[in-house]
Amino acid sequence: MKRLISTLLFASLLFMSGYARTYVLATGVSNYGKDDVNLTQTTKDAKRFKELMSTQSKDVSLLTGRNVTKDNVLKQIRTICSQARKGDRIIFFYSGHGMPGAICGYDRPIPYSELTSVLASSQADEKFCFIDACHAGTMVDSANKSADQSGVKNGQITFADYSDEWTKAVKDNQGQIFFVSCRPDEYSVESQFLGAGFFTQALLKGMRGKADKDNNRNITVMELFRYVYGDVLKKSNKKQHPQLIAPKNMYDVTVTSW
Amino acid sequence: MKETKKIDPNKVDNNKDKTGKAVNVAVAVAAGAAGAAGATLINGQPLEAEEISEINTADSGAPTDVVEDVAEVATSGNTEAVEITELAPESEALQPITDDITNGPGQVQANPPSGNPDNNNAEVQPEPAEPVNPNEIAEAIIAEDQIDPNDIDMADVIDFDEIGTVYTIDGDSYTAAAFHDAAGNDFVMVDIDGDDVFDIVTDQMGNLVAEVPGCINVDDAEIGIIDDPTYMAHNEHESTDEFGSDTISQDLIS
Repeated sequence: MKRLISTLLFASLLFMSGYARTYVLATGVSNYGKDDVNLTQTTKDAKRFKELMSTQSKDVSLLTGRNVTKDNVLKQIRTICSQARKGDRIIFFYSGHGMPGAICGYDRPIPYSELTSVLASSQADEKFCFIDACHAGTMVDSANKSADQSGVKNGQITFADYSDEWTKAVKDNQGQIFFVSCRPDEYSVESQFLGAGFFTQALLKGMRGKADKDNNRNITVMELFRYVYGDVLKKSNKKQHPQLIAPKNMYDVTVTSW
Repeated sequence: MKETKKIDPNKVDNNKDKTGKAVNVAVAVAAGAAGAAGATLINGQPLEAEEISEINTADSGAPTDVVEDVAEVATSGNTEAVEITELAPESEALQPITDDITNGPGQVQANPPSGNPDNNNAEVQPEPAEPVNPNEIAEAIIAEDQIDPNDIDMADVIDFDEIGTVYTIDGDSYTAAAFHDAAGNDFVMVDIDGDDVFDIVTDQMGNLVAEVPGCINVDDAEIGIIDDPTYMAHNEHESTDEFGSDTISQDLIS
């Protein structure tokens, strides 16, 4: 009798949780059309991320290469954001080139400010972004620096250009969690020998359970970040520092569950 | 689960019985692993991690285009050649392969290709459009994969086969991972100092071939062996998450 009740309770919990959807959009660009800027592992990173997330959700889609245009990516995210309801989750993954304040779509940069703005429009409770790209930490740097202190060198983009919207997104606690692959002044590394970017490799291992330090088969935000941070630092010989941008009250949010 | 390759028991012995066959790993290590240069190992490819080069930006201070020219792409149903030269909101962006779906309310309308006959003035009254469900349209957009067949998806340089233990004639044991390269040549990575990071590469006879380029952990080998994205338990002996504990607070932003 006790077993029957437990089974029914478990089934009802599963039934209820089935209404909460997790929308995943994985994107990756390797071929930018120029030999000197092309990458080799980034599209593979996106495919592996999609494969992993397919064990966690049925709403997983993939964009690669020339399909990762600014318009197309934002269209996909807006569509997801419009469909997501309260209780749902949105996950965006990108692997490719990055630049100060933006990720590099196939045709044009996609500023972080636009990304966070679109995500903020959704009713979904939790919005994750995993960014494996150079200068990804400019998201944070732009929030920390004032306009007067923004570095402008050789006509490069000012961080202040991207500061206001990102700062607002973080401080308004709109449920956005960003795992970024490096600090503002660092490069993100991919390795042909490893077969992946350092950050994505650590992310995948961590999400599959290597970050599950308490062995409860639920990998939380903080568990995952600690694992990713140590693994990337070790691989890069402390030249690449991933960053986590998230409200503290979301550190215990479960990222993957097995 | 990926099919693994049997390791020659004379070289790699998973049996914890230390009376098993010895290998020459320790001898090679003692002889001069520290001084051995990292020889090219895999089909002449350099065993070095590669950095992503920074994309050059214009001097204007405004975001610039990443790509100036796009090679002609031949796909199963579409062939387009588009040249992007300047960043302008009204510029004709690359058309996604399947971007011919009308979006629902509040969505961005995809730009139709130039010369589309639908843009011409119709002389005949169009038939009334069937009512569409915006949610169905949105769900179709969300569910669709858009994969560029011309994107670079480099094959793995190495494939891990098995993780085990190797023993020396002195009775020391080391964690090792057997792997093969794209040409099918078999090698073994060995963790000499017991920090769960592989240090050297040997051939199946135990002869030193090269130092491991970069940092390959035992769990990198594990994820390489288990192709299916299943749960991989945390190894209590792994200390990866403790690495960098002195700086992690600087990179936690809230």
